[in-house]
Amino acid sequence: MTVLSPQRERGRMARVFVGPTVGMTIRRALFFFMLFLAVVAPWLDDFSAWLPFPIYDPLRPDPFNPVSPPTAEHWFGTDTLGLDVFTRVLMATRVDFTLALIGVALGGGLGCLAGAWAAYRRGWVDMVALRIVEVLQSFPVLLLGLAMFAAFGSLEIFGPVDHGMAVLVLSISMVNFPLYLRQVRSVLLPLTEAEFVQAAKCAGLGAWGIVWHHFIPNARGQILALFPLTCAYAIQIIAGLSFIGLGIEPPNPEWGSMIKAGATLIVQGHWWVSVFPGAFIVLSVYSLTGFSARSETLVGPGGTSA
Amino acid sequence: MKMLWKRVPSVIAVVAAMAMVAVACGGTETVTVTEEVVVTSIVTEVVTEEVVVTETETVTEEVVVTSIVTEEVVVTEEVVVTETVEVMVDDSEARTLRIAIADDVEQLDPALGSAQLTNLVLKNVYMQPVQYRPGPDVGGFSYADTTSFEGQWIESWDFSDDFRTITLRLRQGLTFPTSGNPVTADDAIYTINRALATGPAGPAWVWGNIGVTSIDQIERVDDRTLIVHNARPSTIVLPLMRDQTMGIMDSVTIQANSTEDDPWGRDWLKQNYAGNGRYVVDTWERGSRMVLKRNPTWTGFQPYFETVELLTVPEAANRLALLQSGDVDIALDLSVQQLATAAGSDGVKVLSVPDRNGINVLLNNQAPPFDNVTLRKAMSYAVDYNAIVNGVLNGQAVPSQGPISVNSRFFDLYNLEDAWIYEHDPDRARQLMAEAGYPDGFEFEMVIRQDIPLDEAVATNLKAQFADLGIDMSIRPVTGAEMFDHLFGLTYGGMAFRGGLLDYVDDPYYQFFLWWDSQDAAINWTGFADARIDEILDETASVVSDPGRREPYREAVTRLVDAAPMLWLANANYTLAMRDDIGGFTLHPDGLLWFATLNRSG
Repeated sequence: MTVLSPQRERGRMARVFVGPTVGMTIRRALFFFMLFLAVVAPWLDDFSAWLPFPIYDPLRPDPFNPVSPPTAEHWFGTDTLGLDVFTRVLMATRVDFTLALIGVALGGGLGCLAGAWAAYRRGWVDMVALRIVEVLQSFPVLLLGLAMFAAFGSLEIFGPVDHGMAVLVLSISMVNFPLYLRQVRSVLLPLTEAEFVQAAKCAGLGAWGIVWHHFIPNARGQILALFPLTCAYAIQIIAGLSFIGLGIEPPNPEWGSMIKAGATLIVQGHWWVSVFPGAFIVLSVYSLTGFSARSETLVGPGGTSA
Repeated sequence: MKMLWKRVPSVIAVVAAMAMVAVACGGTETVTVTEEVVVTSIVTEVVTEEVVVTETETVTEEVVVTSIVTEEVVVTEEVVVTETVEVMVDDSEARTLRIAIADDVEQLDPALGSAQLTNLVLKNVYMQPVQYRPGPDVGGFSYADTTSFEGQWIESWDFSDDFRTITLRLRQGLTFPTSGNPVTADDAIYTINRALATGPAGPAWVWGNIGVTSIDQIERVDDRTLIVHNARPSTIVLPLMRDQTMGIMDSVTIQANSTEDDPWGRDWLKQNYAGNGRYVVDTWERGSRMVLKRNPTWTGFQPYFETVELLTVPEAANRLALLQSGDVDIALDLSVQQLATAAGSDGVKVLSVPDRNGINVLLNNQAPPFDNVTLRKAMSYAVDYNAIVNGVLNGQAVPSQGPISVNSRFFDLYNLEDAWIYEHDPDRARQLMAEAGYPDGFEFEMVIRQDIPLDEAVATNLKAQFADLGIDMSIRPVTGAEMFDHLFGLTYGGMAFRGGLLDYVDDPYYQFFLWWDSQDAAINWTGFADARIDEILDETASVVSDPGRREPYREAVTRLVDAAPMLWLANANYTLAMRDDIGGFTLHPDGLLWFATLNRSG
């Protein structure tokens, strides 16, 4: 059994962000570009004079210019309400990325802790954790999302946070919690008898101390490999739920609801309303999965054993 | 290379499939025949073959091939047959009207219909006491003449001098086609009695407005004559009698299918048919299609179409595609954009005629913030009416000017344009908001129906317009059922929008009694109450002359506009997309398509 020390892993992790191949560099650039868009989206309008593309208010329809094909004024055309598709696709990046990241971080974080705790304690804790995982994973993702919206439908419990967004984040968390729990548990299970764990125990470190300082760092490779993949999956789930009308309140921009808005227009030849947000979903998933593939090869099978 | 060879069968399969598709799609007009023949005489060959022209249309085609050759000569001849193909279209095909509808018909009991589509079917498959006569043709269509009625199951009617007694003479010789039972006065009494038992909704409300609240008021003189006693004098007695809920029913059949628990056969009638409209229900495949046949027992003017097929096509884009391909003759419920697309398609015409359809936003007058009349007025000034009329509705509308539609005949008759005070004036809106105590804006929610393009478009535009004034309007899409709960329970937050709202009867009394009577309004979806308007309604309810109603209604409309209980945005046109050979359309005030006058003359 090979066990990585945190120091050795840090060197490998640095290489994940260097991008040794062209494809890797492109994906990485794409990811950071989208991340940049997500961060600056709300202020794009303030700097419209300096931007090379025309930017509009994503919520202000132009009722006199609906379903206009792509032009110099509207790079991605307009939708049935006369909303600029280009601006909305950019603004939606923020919504989809942010929700996916928060949802995965929340569910994944809790899943990691629970997985490590289950691996350390074993016994009934492990058994209960696994049963919870099985219950959660027995629901199809969209059904789980629907159930969440049905359950939280009229409960105003999120205060100032947008209700639909909060339920979306919770749904993403529910999907990711079991994934991380299982993964982390399976990696850490063999470590409970490892010498450094025994040594830590002898040194008087408490259970949570061992989990936090010795277990979690040993699962970091798997967590980092899983994170981009699950983020990509989360983006698809958000888009899927929005496509069936759950989550983001209209007319706020979101890729899934934008695809839906244009779905019936495609047969009439108005392809741009759906295709551009769809393309952005593909690009975002592509950029994220690229990260995952790379980090997995770096710190994956050869790095740790499970 | 090896890989390439492996793919050869797949490539061949794909090419073969494409070839088959190409053959299937290819034309059949020109036939090229290459044959080697030994001919000793003139050969005349008559080939009769069946050619499938469309999926649903089968025609018989006669091809006559004549070739003359010299005796004992062997020829290799290419005979190119490009003769005119005589297509004899089956008449029954031409006499079938196919309509793509958005949803299934809910049920078949006239007393219970509510959705516009269900009402449309009920109006055509049941026979009402009277119907409007078509007005003069005005460029390819006509409006129903709302002042002229023709008897349906009643042949004639006489009002007493005080309008309190109505003598109804039933039409002779009518039968219910599915059972063969004759239509008698007993059926009429049963129908009225059953209607009164429906409770406040539906036809009991209609009969109540005529003044009939008890079956004892109906006297059966003989098998063909009824007298209605103590009727309420009103301008809308006959217009109400054409309501789709007033269809006469086969009392014998319904009673045979009634049970102790269900004495009026409601459960049975929801799924079954016991009427005698111009069309009768032939087959009903739930969720997919309903076939109506021309009523064989009707002896009057015969409708052109023998069969009307209603095909349920939930997706609007598919309804449009079916219309464009000619697979249906009429597509209902298309969005503004789809109508524009349809208008530009070959073989399709779009009828867009001024109508009284109200594009109105409902305000909850009983809850903050819109229990404040000054704020309600501010909202009326905040709306950009032009953007709604010419943008959202693509010019297929006119700006509204209050509760009575500008396309109502009463609008001009009573000079109601004087009562209207609102226009798009953001400064005035800001000033009124400040007066109302909201100088910096406020938040509220608008409830709309989900997946309805018009609702979404109106809400999104209003949101942007209100945002300019610092008002934060959120939009909550709900199901149709939830919407009804919100409207009847007045539980919506600030505003609600529910598509076009149409008064089935064009009369100010109908509008006010339906919407604004604080005690008895059937659909008081705003929670508005005004004692003076209630008084005016009481005073004018039994006034049957327009001069006597003019001033009271002018006052009522003025008061209502000033109180701004809803946002009257626009009066949308009636629009209908159909194949260009469909003619004979008559627009009724209820907006329910009347099949009997339609034809295929173009």
